[in-house]
Amino acid sequence: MKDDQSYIAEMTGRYIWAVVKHLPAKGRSDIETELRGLIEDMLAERAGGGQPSPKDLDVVLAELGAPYDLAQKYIAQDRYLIGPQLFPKYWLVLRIVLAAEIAGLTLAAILTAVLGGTAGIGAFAEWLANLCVGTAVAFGFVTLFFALAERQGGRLRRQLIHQDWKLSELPPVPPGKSRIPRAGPIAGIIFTVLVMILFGWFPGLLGAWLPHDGWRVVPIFDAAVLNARLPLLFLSFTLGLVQEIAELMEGRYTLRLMWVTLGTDAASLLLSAAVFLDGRIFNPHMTQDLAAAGIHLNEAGWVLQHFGAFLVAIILFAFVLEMATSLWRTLRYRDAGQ
Amino acid sequence: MDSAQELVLQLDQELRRGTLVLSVLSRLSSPQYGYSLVQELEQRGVGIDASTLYPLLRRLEKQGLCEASWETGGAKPRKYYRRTALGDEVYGVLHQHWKTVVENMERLLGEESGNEG
Repeated sequence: MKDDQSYIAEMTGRYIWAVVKHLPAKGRSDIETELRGLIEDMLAERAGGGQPSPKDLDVVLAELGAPYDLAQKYIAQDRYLIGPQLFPKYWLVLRIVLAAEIAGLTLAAILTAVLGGTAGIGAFAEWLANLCVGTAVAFGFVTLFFALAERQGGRLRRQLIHQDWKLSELPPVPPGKSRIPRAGPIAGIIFTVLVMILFGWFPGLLGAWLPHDGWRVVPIFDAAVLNARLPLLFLSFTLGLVQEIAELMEGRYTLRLMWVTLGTDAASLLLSAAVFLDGRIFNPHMTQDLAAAGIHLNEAGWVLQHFGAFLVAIILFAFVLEMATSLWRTLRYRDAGQ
Repeated sequence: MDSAQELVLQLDQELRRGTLVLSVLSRLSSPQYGYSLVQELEQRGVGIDASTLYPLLRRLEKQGLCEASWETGGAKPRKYYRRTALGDEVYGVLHQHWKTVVENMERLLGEESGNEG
C-alpha cells in the first residue's frame, strides 16, 4: 500500500516535471500546482472514493497524453524558427544572397587565377573551401535575421509580410508564348558556370578521350595560349551569364531583354572569334598525339588545320540563331502584355 | 473506408475546436475550477480533454476574458476561474453570433437535404 502511494507520488512528480520543464519559468509553479490538483481529482474519480492504485495513475496519465504535447498546448503559439508567413521572403532572400555569394567568390577566384595567383587544383580546392565557409556564413546570417524577425515580430516583420497592392498596378498576365520558362535560363546559367570551371581549372580535360591503355586524353588546346586568352574567354562567358540572368529576371520577351540579348551575344561572338580564330590556341601536336594513340586522320586531317574556323562557325551559328529567335519572339509578342 | 473515417475524425475535431471557447465561457458566470468544468461539460455532452481545457483556461485568463484565484482553504489548493466584465461582453456578442451561425447553417444544410430528397 505504501509502495503504491510512493509510486503514485513519484510518477506524478515525474510527469509534471516532464511537462513544466518545457514551459517558461514564469507561471511554471502555478501550472505545476494546478496539474497536481487535476491528477489528484482524476485519480479520485477513477478510484470512486477508495485508494487509487498505480494502474489508475497509469490510465490517468495516459489520458493526459504525452508531456511534451501538453506543454505545447500551454505554450499555445506555434514554435517556428521561421513561420509560413515569412518563409517565402526568407527563401527568396536566401537564394539571392547565396547566388551572389557564390558568384562573388567564383569571380574572385577567377580574377586571382587570371592575375597570376595560384591556379589549377590548389586554387580549385581553395575556392571550394571558401565556398563552403561562405555559404554556411551567408545561410546563418540570413536565417538568424529572419528568425529574429519571426520572434520579435513588430515593425520589421510587418514590413516583410505586408504586401501593399493596388488593383490598378497589377501587371497584365503575359500571354503564354511570351513567357520564358525559368528552366531555360537556369539550365543556361548552370551550364555556363560548368564550362567556365572546365576552361579555367581543368583545360586538360578538354580533348579527345581515347581508349588507349585505359583513357588517354589528347588535349585540343595549347595550355599556355589558352591560359593567356582566358580573360577574354571568361568575359565572353560572363556576358552569357548576364544574358541568362536578365532572361530569368524579366520572365518574358520584352524589348529591353532583346537589346540585352543582341548586345551580349554580339560581344560574346567577337570575343570568341578573337580567342579561337588564331590557330595558335590549339594543340600544335594534335595530329602526332592522335597518331601516337593509334588514330590516323589521313584525309580528315584538314579538319584539324581549320579547327578554329570550324569552332567559330559553330559558335556563330548558335549566336545568330539565338539572336534571330530573340528578335522574332520579341517583335511578335512584345505588344501583348506590355 | 478508413480514409473516410479518418477524415471525419479530423474534420469533426476542427468543427469542435471552434466551439470550445464559447462552451467554456458559457460556464464561467460563476467560479469553477478546471476539473469541475471538465465534468460539467462532459455531463452536458460537450466532451473536452483536461489536457485541452487547462491550457485553454490559462489562455483565456491571459486574454483577460476570465480571472483566476487560488482557493487554499480546502483539502487541496484549487484555482477557480470566472468571467471578467470583458469576458461577459465578449461572451454576449459571441453568443449572438453563434445563434446566427446555427440558423444559417440549419437553413443551408436543410436546403442541401431538401435537394437530395
